[in-house]
Amino acid sequence: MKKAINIFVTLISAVTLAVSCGIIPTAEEGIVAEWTLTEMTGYETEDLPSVYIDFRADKSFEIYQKVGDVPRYRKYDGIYEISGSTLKGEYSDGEDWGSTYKVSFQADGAVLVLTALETDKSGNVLSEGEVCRYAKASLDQKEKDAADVVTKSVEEVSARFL
Amino acid sequence: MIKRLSIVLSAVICAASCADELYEGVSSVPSEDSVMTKVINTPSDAEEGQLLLCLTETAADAVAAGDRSLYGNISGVLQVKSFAPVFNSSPDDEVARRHNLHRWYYVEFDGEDLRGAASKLAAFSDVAMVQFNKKLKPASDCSFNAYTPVLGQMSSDDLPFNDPMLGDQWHCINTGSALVSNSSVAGGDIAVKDAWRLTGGDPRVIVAIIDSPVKYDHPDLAANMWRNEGEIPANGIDDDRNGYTDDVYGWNCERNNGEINWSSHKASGHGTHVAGIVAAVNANGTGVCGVAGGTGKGDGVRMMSCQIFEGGISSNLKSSAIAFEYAAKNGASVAQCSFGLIGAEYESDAEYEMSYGAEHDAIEYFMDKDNNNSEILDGNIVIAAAGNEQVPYSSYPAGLQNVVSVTGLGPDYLPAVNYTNYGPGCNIAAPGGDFYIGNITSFKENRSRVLSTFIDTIVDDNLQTAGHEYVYMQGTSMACPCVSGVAALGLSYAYKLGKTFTREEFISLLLTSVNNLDSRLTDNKLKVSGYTNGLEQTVDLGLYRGKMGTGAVDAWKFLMAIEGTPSLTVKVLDESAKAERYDLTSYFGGSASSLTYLSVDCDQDTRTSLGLSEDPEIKYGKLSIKPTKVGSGKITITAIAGYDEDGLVDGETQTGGMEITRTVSIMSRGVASDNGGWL
Repeated sequence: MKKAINIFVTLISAVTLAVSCGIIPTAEEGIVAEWTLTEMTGYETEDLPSVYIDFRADKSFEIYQKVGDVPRYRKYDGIYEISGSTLKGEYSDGEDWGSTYKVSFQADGAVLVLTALETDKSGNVLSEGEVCRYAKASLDQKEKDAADVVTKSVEEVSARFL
Repeated sequence: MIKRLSIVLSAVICAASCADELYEGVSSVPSEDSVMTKVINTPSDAEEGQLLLCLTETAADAVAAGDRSLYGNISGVLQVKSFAPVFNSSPDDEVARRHNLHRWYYVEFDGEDLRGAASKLAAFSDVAMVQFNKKLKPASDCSFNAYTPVLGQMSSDDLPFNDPMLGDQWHCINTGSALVSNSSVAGGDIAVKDAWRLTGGDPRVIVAIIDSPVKYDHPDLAANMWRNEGEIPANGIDDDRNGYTDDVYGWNCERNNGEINWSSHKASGHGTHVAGIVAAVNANGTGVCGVAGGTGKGDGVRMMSCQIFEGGISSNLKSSAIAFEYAAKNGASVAQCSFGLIGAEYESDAEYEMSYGAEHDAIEYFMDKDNNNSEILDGNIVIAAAGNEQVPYSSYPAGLQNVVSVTGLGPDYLPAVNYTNYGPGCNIAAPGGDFYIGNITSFKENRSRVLSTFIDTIVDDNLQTAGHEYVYMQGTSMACPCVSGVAALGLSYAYKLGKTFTREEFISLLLTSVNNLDSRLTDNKLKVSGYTNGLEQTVDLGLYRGKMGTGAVDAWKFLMAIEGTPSLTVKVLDESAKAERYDLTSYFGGSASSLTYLSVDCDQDTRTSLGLSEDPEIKYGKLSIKPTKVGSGKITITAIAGYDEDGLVDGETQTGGMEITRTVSIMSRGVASDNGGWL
């Protein structure tokens, strides 16, 4: 009985400790949310483009981005894969992401940190590069509905079949 | 065979050498050389009994001031019927003088052949140039077949407007229907359906239809016709004092009066068809749609009829010159020109400019920045048909370096090999129709040409009514107004966004908002010469690769470009790394990798911000750049639209491509994907 109580208390303590320290169980679970870019290596905050990324539980993602002088967001989508803390993905047009990333969190999971990884052909990490931080936020649905959809890898928005 | 001026001028020299008698106004026997250099073109395909004279500055001012001595001298050697200025502008008009409009006079005479008359007039010291008044022709054979309804072509849910014939206008929305052609290609159109979500037009944009008359009371055109509200119709008074009397819907440049006249026998309906492509009224439950015809709220662009063809009367340089002047003075910002020279072939702008002085001066006058008629641009634009002679160069005036020359495509989104010109001087392609890939067993059921408005009162040779309100026609005549309509739509959208551009920037955006054609030109296409059982042959479509212009016009891409283009994201590299290459399709259209690039310019601020130790350049059709720092900047890339040579050779303008320039915003960071996606 005493042993059972001790085990129970230990378990409760572990859970309490886990909860009180804000530890997210896995990167795979913690990344599922909508995020907006708040910091990027080498850029001042006011110079950052507007970027929203929605990582979904079904391993799909959507990106809404405004990079440069454009009136509407451009929407990209595709699938991602996360193994441990390594994140990679592919756009629906068949293009790979520009990099593989290391996933980490700050502020009790409220901040997502994606660190670009330089890898060799075998996928071995050679170095770490650009660091981007994201906070949880959603893009207004009206902006999403008005976004231009990028469907081909090298064509302009709402690409024609040609 | 390229004509050479020297061959014909030799004939003129021969004629001139016979004119060895002195007459008044000629102080000595003119040398053969002096006469030769004054006669600037040839009499082939020129109007009989007419000549255009460019006087010296002094003589022009004297004549304008009332000096009749030159008239007297000319009357002494020719039976003069009329002698009058070609242009309407006041001799004091500074902009007109800049382009020599005040110096051009028109002589009509009897009793002398053209060569003889030219040599006599060229002998006068007051005459600087003599020009034969060459004839012009529409860039279509003007053959047509009436519209017949096609049931079930498209559901009303798929159509943005309720115009009942929109489903048959494959140049607007191509569904790949076999009813048009077995080789129709879905999406092989100008992509205006998407563009109409953003704008349908703006009545502040005025397009001059320089052509046969536009039937201004056509039920599907009337609401989008420009109307000179300052003029009271048919009262014989220049009410608004613009120098033109009773010019309500435009000007009849052939007769030099305000009567837009389509009642003549052999009226072609060509101008009315062209106008409908540009801006037939949209969403009125009637007929067809126009590219910039509005959205049903009175918001279509407006069309001005500058009539240069009339029934059996052909057009000529004088009429077209008058048209450009009228359009400039009365508010047009786009000149839509589905016409060209008959038979003449020119290798260079310089040759054309020398031979077509009056028309060329008038085109330059229309494009002069001081005549700008748009709040969006700093100068008006001219869009012309490349021509239908199936030759590997553009006709003129389309071939001029600063005029947009349009080639023709069929509903198969391939060159209309049975008519379209291609090659040097051609800048962009658009749907113009292709009869031979449609139903050729039933003329009536052929739908592979372009459907638009027409004149229902046209009569045939037996004076029977042969017209219809809506017909199919083909030619670069039909391709050209597709592009004019897209340009007008772009101006309308710029008005909506409050954006402005230089004329060159706007044309660059237009010519780079295209779909790639070259990747489709890998097979053969049947070519038939003649309409009935002509000799068939297959032509290798590779012949047209890189020669139809930058690509096929895309209205949606154009409006996107007007909105603004996203920055090109490039990856920061180590000093030791090689530069990486980036696709330029977003900036230069679908044919970006095959354009001829002239330069990549980068200022010092950009070099510093991006850490560029070497200047960016174009390699294999892509931007090669090596940023070593995170930062941003701009680079300016210049390319040739339409041909692989700059239009300049030794400083002279040849028939070549048009320079297009895009400024590319660059953002460098640690990550860059091939498609511009953030991750």
